[in-house]
Amino acid sequence: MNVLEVLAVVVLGYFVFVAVWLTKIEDYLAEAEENRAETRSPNRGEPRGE
Amino acid sequence: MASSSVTTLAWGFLLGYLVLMIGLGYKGYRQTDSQDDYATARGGFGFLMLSLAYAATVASGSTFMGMPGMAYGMGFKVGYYAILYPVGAYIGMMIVARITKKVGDRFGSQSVPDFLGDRYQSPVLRVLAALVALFLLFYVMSQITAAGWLFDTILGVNYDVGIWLAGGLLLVYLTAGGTYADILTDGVQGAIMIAITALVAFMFVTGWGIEGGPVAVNAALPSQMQWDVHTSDQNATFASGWAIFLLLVAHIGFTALPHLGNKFFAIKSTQYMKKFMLASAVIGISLPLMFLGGIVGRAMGIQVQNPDAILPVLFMQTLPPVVAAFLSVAILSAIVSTADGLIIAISQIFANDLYRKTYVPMKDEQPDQSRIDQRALWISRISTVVVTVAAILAVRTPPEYLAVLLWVGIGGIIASYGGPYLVGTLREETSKTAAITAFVAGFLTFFVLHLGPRFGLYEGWFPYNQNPFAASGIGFMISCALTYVVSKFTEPLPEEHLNKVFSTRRSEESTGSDAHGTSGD
Repeated sequence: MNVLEVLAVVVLGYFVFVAVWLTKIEDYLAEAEENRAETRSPNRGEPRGE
Repeated sequence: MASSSVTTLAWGFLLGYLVLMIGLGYKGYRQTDSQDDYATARGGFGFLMLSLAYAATVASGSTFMGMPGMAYGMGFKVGYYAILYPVGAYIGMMIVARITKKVGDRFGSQSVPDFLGDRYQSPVLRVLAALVALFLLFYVMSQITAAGWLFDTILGVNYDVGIWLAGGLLLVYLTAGGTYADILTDGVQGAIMIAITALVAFMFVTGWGIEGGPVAVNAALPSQMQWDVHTSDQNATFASGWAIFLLLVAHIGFTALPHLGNKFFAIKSTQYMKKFMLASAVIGISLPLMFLGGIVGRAMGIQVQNPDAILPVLFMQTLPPVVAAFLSVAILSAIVSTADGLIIAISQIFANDLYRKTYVPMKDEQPDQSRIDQRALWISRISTVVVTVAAILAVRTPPEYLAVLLWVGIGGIIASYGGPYLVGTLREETSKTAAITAFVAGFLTFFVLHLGPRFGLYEGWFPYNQNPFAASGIGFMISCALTYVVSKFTEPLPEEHLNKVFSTRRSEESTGSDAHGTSGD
């Protein structure tokens, strides 16, 4: 493979990473934050924000 | 020296550019009422403008002059640098952007060092990070040097006058409009840079001036520069596949540079973050295609004394004067859009990191918040002037170790911030002790591998003694590994604090979208 072909593969892999991150990982992290809010809040079970 | 028609047209474009930048600076001034506005433009921009600004800030004068120059001298292998640096930088961006924005909004963080201090409840880490970031002054100096050279080459203005022209432009709009002006001007400059990049890519694909397209361009190069040659024993940056891999690794940490991280505060809301990431990722990887201009210039047999001048000379020799003249504005855009972000970031080290978040809490007096913010805003504006003028004065006679000092800032940040910033974003269990340990160890690694040899203290090991990317890449990996390992054996941060950092609900409460605090129950 020449340099341009290697770079084409790298760029392809980069966009696969971007796609997976935006469609899967970001949602997973957001969900983990939501879970923390529901299961680990010190004020769990009490009204919050008042 | 450019032809008179190119110079005349370039002056015309430049004047239009100056009027536009100053107008945008004024618009930024109208939107800047507080220290937080000046430092972050918090929530002030949509995803597209911010993406253009972010990509323009990442791509500096090096992308528009240095990389084509390297490609002119070394051929296709420079493509590894040109492409791997945005790949690394934007992967890093995706890891840290959302949490930086969220924590920044909640704690009022106004810089990346400040974010680290808030994330880890550690004034020590904030001050350490701020002190390393101070060395970014030398990065500003390198950009102003490049601007002075550009004025000299294309516009026929003496270098000593050129650096004051570039610095004066920065002073006018930054002092008034702070980050609002920074992002507005960078967004427009990003669009200009994309236009020129598209032209250069087109020239390569069509084999500009050479019959036969890219294959003929490749064939016209000396054999050691052609696309089947991947490495060079003689060059520390491309010495081996490992050195090239470290280019990628180091640039994942590049995203920690404060003039990049502070852009995340400016997006309207985390709900726009995915669009911002996607647009930045696409725009960002396109700009370094500028390196292809150096390849085309070499293939056409164009002779230049200074390789960094290849792109202006290529344009002047092969394109209509109006296009060649427009290139000067695009290159100036690349330089200025990086320099302005750096100057704002450095001003916040003084105004926010050292004054507002370190000096004020150390005093026993009950702080009057509005008075402190007013003072911080003044410190921001004054330090913007001082940093810019200091950088201009310093590059009139560049210090002996300018290139090394530049890398104390960039490489030091990559190597030291890496673990605390990137790992700490993904792993909430990361402890304060781990963050500080990794910060110090990462910086020391970079010092031992690269800075020590460059300061002449000892010979060091090839390629690390000559290749700052390889050394900072190793430092970055050690910083990340230590952050993970030390956290396993040390006390985590209090649960309540982690809830503030990582919990969605606390975020919504703080931004007002869940004003009653009951949704999701």
